[in-house]
Amino acid sequence: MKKLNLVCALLGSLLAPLPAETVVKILHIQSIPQIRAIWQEAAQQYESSHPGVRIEFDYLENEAFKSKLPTLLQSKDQPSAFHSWGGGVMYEQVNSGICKDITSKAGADGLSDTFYPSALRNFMVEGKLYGLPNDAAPIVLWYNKELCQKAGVDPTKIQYWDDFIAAVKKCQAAGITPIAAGGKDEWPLHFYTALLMMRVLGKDGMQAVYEDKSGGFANPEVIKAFQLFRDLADLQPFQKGYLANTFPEATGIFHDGKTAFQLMGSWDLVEGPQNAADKKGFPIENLGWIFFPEVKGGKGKANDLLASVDGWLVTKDAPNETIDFMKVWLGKEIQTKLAAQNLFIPAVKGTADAIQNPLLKRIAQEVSNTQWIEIAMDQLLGPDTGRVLNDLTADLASGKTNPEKAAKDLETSWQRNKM
Amino acid sequence: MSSPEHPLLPDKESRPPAGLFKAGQPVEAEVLVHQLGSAAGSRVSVWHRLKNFSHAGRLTTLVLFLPPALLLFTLFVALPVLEAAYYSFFNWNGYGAPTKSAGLENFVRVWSDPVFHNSLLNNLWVILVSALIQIPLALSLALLISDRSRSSLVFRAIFFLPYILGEVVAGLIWRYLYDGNYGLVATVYHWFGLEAPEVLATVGWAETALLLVVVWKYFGFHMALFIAGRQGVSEDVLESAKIDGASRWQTTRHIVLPLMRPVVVLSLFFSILGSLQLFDLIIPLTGGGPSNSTNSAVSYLYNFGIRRMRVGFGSAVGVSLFVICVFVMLFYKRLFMQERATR
Repeated sequence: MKKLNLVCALLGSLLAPLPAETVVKILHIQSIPQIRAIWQEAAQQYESSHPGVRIEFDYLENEAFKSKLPTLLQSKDQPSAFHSWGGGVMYEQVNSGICKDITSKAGADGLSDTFYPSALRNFMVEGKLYGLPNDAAPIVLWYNKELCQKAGVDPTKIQYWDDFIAAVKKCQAAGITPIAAGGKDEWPLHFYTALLMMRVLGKDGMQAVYEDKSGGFANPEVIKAFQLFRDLADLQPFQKGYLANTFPEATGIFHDGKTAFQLMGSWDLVEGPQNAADKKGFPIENLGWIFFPEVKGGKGKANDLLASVDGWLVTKDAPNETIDFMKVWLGKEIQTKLAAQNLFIPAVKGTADAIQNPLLKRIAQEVSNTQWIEIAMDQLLGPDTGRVLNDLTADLASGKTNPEKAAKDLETSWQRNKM
Repeated sequence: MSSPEHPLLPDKESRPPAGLFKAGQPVEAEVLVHQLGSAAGSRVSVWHRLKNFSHAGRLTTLVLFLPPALLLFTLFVALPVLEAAYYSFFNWNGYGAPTKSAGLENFVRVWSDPVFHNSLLNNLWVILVSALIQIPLALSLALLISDRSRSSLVFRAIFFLPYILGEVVAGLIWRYLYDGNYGLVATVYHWFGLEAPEVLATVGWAETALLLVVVWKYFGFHMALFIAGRQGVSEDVLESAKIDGASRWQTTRHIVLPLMRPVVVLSLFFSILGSLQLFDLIIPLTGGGPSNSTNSAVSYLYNFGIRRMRVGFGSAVGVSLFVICVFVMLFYKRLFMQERATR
């Protein structure tokens, strides 16, 4: 036996790799080539000043990423940092001990202070920081100026939900499809119900719901929000066959100039035209955006933002160079470059001014002005309840369920998944 | 043990019968052989006998090949099933180890979920369509092109093509075909000046669309089985039937089909098995929607278990599906695959 051990030890030491360089693996879902190019720049910049460290970017498509992540995070292919939307999924990940507490490390050189506080908060659990934000992408109501003009609609005058309904009806009267939405993916539809809940309940109201006061989700105001969405869906305002269209297909239809409105995040400015039939979409002068309308008598304000605040969570066994690299990668210089190309709204303070595109610039200004940024609810509510909300919204749209039952089902799922 | 006459001679009881060996010939070799062959009769163990038996190679083969097969089966079949059964009693999100015990709650939730019932129903629909539409279709085609002419060979290749396609590819292809704006279905409707229906977005239509794709994808496989079966029917039988004056239809109905019964039974077995596993076609085609109407049991497991990070719940679905499969297979075997020993 001893002899066997000796032989194994010898073999092992022969076969063992030489001390390797430190590899920082970043797992992302970014498909836009311009963004990836600038990230590579940051990687090269860091590698040249830090020999012995290699930065590796790994890509997974959105849905594949969501499905594969649990297995990846618990295998030896664990990335050093990975994309996150924050919210309920992040809570689950943090609670299972996968993530590293970087409060002190990030606070050390003032790294955490370079970000918008509300964006940074999205990656905190019980006061401890587990990741860093990348960008803030609010959801706004985009419109096609030309089509709106044809229908006799002035989007800048839409202030309340009733105005929006009237605009939809006007579009239909003019033979224009009012709204593009990706019903198969379901999350584009859930923007409506989430925003309506925000507009009806307001910040404090939503907080009370999360804290199970007044019946949680099964309260009359949530039902009212769902009813308002139902009223919209009953008008059949979406493109034909919307329940079978994915987000890329739906946004392609919008940028082909086929519908007047699309409720979508600010990422659509870059991703949308790429999905149009000619890969360019209609001219940008023709594009505009307005806030999601308020609800008369509701407590929410027009500039309360529903947004996707994406960022990077750091894993438990990540090398220290990960945060070091993030100082460069998520630093002002690189992020300003990204902003200047209008690729997204970085979560780093002071980069908004570099944004060239006036539409995106205005959105960035609202991000710094707003009192309330709510994270997209299909992420905030967790992997299970989030998808339940998505399913319910699609069912409300198709008429398969009613507002009371939907609110009740949502509350049941929420209770079941309480952290 | 050896006799006093000669050290190698066995004692009287196990001595070869007299006259076995010719007198005068060297006796030692035969004695040795006989000794080895039945060394002192029953006094040496069976193992000893087997080991030295001339069929020694068979045992070696068994010992060499059985453990790897058993290992693979245990690792990839038995162990996962047992693990799934274990996980199904927990409320687990897939991270770390399961800690929140849930008792039978997952099973209760699975079986009381109307979406699960609908998924099982969809599985049943696929089985029925396979049995009542796909197999008769495959059978009739097989009977038409089971000869060896060139045109038959060409058609066989064509009909088999859908089966060769990857399932995800097939799902995607049909997704575009069914598209109500740009797809083939839409084009056909537009020829007639009509609005094309949104097949994959409408609840009733989507299920029918899925069944159509299933039939299209797998009928080639069954057709190939039936062609092989048909070619196994002895020509002599058919010739004698012809001589007896049987018409083509009579020959087919009374001779060919009964002789092909085992192949049809096997084919139905495969299609039931396949439809219980249906998943790869559904995800690219409809994703289980619209409104969760086109889920199968497995896609339900994926959508409601894995995607929602409820691994315990998904495991409960998996275990339920496993039990259903076992029962179906046992029942099927009993009903159709009994050995016809009494005939």
